[in-house]
Amino acid sequence: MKKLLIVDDQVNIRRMICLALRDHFSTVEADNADSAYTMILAEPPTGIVLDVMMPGSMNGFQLCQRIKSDPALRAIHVVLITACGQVADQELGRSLGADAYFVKPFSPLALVQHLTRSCC
Amino acid sequence: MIEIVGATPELVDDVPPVDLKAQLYRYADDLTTLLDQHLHLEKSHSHLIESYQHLDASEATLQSLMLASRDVYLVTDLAGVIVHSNAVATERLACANPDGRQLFDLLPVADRSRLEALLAEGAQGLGSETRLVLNEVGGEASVLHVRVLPALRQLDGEALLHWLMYDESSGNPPLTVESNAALLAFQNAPIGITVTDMDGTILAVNHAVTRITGYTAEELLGRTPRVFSSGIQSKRFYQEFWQALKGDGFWQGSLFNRRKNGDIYSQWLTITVVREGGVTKMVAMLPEESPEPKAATSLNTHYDDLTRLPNRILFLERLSMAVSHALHSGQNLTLMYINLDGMKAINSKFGYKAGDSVLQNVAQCLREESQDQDTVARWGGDEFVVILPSLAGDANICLLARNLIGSLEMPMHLDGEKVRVGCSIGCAQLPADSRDGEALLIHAKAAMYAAKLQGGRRHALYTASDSRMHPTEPFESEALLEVAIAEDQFEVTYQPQFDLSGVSPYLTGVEAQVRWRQAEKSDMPAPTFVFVALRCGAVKPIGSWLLGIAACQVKT
Repeated sequence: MKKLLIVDDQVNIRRMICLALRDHFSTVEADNADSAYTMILAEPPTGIVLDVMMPGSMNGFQLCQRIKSDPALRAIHVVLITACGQVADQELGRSLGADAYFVKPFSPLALVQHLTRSCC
Repeated sequence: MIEIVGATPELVDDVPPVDLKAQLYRYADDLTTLLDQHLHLEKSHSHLIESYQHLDASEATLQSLMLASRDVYLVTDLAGVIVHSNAVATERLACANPDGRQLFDLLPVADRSRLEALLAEGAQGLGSETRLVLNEVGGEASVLHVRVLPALRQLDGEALLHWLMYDESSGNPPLTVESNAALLAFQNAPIGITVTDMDGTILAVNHAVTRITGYTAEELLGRTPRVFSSGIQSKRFYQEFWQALKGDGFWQGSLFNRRKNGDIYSQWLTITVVREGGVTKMVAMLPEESPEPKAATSLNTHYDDLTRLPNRILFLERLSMAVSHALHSGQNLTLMYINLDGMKAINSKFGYKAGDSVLQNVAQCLREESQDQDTVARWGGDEFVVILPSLAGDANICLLARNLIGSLEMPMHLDGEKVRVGCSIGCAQLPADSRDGEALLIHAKAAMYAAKLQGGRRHALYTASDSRMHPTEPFESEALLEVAIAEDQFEVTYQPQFDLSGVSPYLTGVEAQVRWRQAEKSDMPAPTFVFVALRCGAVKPIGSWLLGIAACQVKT
């Protein structure tokens, strides 16, 4: 089973995502971008489900940029999730190299379908 | 003053943030979608389970049939390893449990390469069959008929081969696959096929027969091909037909059959007698269209185009045959000469087409009233002739004639009008009236004239006096009559008329009579003269001629 990293500051959202994905992936969780980055460096997952707005020194965009600009981590599939469903944010996400962009509230079915198609 | 009571930080924290709530609703949405899908899947799943149960049942039926078969039945994979076998196979291969063994190892055939070739063909998806000689230990060599059929196992789609084998010497052909194929071929052959026993009882007919004849299979089974009889073939035809079938076991030719709707049609027919296990059957092949143009030609020379009745030529042949048969066997024979009344009026009122359909109706009616051994023919124009072998006795003849007149008088519809066709019938008998066919015909015709002169719509038996008033040829007489008018061949005589009621005879007037003096013949008797005049519409011209002459002679 491939491993996915779920990054969101809200524990309930993380649980819901994990619940939707558990039949298809093994999941690990982080509640901010900094600890997520540490975990990625220690053991890179196949994909990452990444909330954009999070407390800490880095937000989701910045973590995404770090991953995609590092040749060793570039292959990680990055799915950005955010409440700000504006065109400018989506453009930004794409320019930073994100592989997909989901807007809250997102359909867990659609997320599962996307991830099983892209990462399995 | 506002007090906040019991509002703990934990409680405030428990109220989910807006985006979490929204996300929860999104989950609920997806859940509903999934539940719908689930119900749908469950439904189709139950259909699937149901149909699978049917499949199970039909497979079980098939298996039990195969297992109960008296032939060897085996299923192998493409390498010849036995997957499944029936009890007969166990016995025949002398192996208690042949499943999982190689077929080649168990079947002691003389020529193994042929069995391998059969397997190879089956593996290519081709059905095939062959005969193999078996060399059984301690037994005589026997011939095994082996048939292989490729098939797919239903569940996993693996290719399998079905093997059917039977001993040729046992005379037990496989009943399963082959007879199904034969039945399909029989039912759907583009040629009509009937199978009858030697008494003619119909045992089987295929679809083409029902198409050709218009009868359903149910209407034909158990009956005889006589339901197709058109009545056109003579008794002698059928005698030769049966002679050929009993002698040669084969008959081929053309005959006239009748469809359920009454249509008469020409049928090319090939009949073969088949002997099978002590039982003899006849198989008749009926092509849907006659392949032989000759048949149509012979129809035209012997049958009347309009009514499909035998024509004058065939009638005369039949008559001479019937006469010689009657004389030879000492039986009686009656000849009827039928002339329709009033056809001229019908033709001029409704047209010749209508007249033709009246003639067809009459022909049909005569056919229906006659029996197999009778011959109904069209003599020409509105005249028909009927040969009635073995009909004898004035009373019987009169009864039949009256019936014929009655059934012809059934009204027919022309242009929405009811039309009744009357007829006059003359009857002559063999041997009472003559022992010669031609003479019988002339006598019957004379009797017909007699009936006509009595007003028509009646019949008359020939009496010797009829021949006196019979003109040699009516058509000839009609021509002569025209000449007679032109050449003044009529002679008028006068007969005084006296009134005898008083004391002394009293002259009331004279009756003018016209006689026809023909140069080389004696006077034509008055009734014949009147008949011929009536027939060719010459009554009026003769009448005015007579008036003119009489008027002239009164003056002189």
